[in-house]
Amino acid sequence: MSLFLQNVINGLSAGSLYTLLAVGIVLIYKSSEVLNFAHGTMAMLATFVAYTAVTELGLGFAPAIVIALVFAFIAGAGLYRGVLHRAREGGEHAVVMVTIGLLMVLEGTAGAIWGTDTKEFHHYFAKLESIPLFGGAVISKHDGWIIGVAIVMTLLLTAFFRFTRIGIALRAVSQNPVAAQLMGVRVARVHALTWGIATALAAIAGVLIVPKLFLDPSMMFGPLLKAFAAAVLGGMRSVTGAVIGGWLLGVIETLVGAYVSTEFQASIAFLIIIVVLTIRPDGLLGTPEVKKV
Amino acid sequence: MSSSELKRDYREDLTLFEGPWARSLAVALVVAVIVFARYGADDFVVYLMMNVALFIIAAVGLNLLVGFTGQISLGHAAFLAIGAYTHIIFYTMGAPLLVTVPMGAAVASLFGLAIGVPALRLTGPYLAIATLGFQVTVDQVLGRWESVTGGRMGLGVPDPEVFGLSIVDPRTYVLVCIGCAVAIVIGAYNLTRSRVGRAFVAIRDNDTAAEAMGVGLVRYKTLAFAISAAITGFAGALFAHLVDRLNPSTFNLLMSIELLVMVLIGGLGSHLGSVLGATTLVLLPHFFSSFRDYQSIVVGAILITVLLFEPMGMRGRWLRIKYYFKAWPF
Repeated sequence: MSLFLQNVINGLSAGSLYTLLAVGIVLIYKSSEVLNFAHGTMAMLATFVAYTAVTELGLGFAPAIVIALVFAFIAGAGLYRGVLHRAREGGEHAVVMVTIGLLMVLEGTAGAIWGTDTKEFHHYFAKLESIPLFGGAVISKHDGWIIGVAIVMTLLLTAFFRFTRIGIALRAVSQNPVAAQLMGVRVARVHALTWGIATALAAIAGVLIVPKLFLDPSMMFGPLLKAFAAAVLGGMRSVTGAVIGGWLLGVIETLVGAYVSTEFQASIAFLIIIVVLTIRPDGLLGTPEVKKV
Repeated sequence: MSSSELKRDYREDLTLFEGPWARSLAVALVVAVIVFARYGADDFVVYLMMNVALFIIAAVGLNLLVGFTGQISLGHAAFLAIGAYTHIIFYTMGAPLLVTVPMGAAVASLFGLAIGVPALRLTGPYLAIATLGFQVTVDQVLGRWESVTGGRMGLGVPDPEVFGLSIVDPRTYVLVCIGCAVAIVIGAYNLTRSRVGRAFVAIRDNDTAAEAMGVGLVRYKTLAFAISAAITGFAGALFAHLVDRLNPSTFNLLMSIELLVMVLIGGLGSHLGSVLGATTLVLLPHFFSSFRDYQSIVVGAILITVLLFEPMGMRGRWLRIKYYFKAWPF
């Protein structure tokens, strides 16, 4: 029983990262109809910025994170205003392909600046000593931080969407951009803001996960694919779905790795994608899209 | 004027070439390429020509799906891999090449059907995720199923032989590649001029309207996936003989993206565009020796630039230049 509990806790830790990434993917998709393949790449860039601030500039960890978040916010908003805003005129395929192009350009640029060799980035959150929990399970401080930050971010985001004027404007735009614009919401600005927030969430995920991986330009590609699976599982148009999908995927994946086979663990995310898309394309919490002729 | 852009009757819509000049030019170009490959080119250029010919086949196959039917696929390198592995596994067992190459295409086509069925319910971004998942899954299965595929160590490729005659000499094999490329391009032109091709285009332009007009969506969407996968798998089977060992990492996601870039920079929905796009993207790294380090930056930048500034690709640019001179001085 305690082994099962332990696996669930490990799964929640992995799932927290999927959740942080998947929420960003869903926010961007809901507001601006863009499936952002460059989402993980932006997280990687922000993590590199934090790394440079710590190692090169000799800053503490807290200011480094602030710098990384500000960078992610501006870069995300800028990416939308500079590139994606134009690309949306070309249709949905063009948009997907442009974000793939951005992924390649940004990843190549990061490789040119920081080198493609792997680096280690151990920081304040990456503490290995463990805290005993109920039922004989333990949780490392690092996993505790990851799960805690993800929960706090989810709550903050919920409050933001429910109680602030900007949050309500974001929801309005995702429901009906034309009506929102007529009510005086600046739609383009709201889109850019969504991109900024989503990319900042991705940056948090990147900084949290980096002690477990190595820091290199392609480090976020695997987690991004998992986050896509989480978003599809929860429903591409539901933020709550993305949160649940992320944690569910993390737990399922870890349990499969523990009880079925570790070989199979890497493919389970894609199996979930294909099963969900075949049986229920709108995900667990998504509502079917009605097509107007 | 017979080369008018407006088609005035059914016969004109069905012609393969716009007038005798276009036909002679196309034939002369193919003959020139064959003569050059046979007598003029050195070994490295011959190797490049084989690559160009095979990627033309793969790009034409992908274009049938993306450009003509309006479906996206981020997993076409997986069909290349399936074609290559099927061919090599059976060929190593002793089956003749003329059987195993079509077998590679057929197995790829079956997988295309398997992807096409769930794809019926998916559009745009969802299809992109599903095909991406397919690409990664095939990559992982090929890497782990060691008893059959040789895993990450790769699979040895035997020399190609037809009726006991070896065609391993690059100068012979390049003719096979070019011949197949020409046949596939003509076949694709013919397919898109037929009833099936028109059904594809109707689905791309508006699937609801197409269905209302009696085009069976289930039938033609899965057919598009199957044909596209078969052509790409065929290219994969021939591609196997260009490498010493088949390795899953050859057919990675980057290759899938590059195939899409070939189709996009050439121009969606144009076979000539796919030919030009494939040729450009295969040759580009060899014109700039320092390009290799920045390959992903350059390919990505080309992709973004084309999509933002010339969504119709090289063919769109060509048409615009042609119209400019035709309408000159207006």
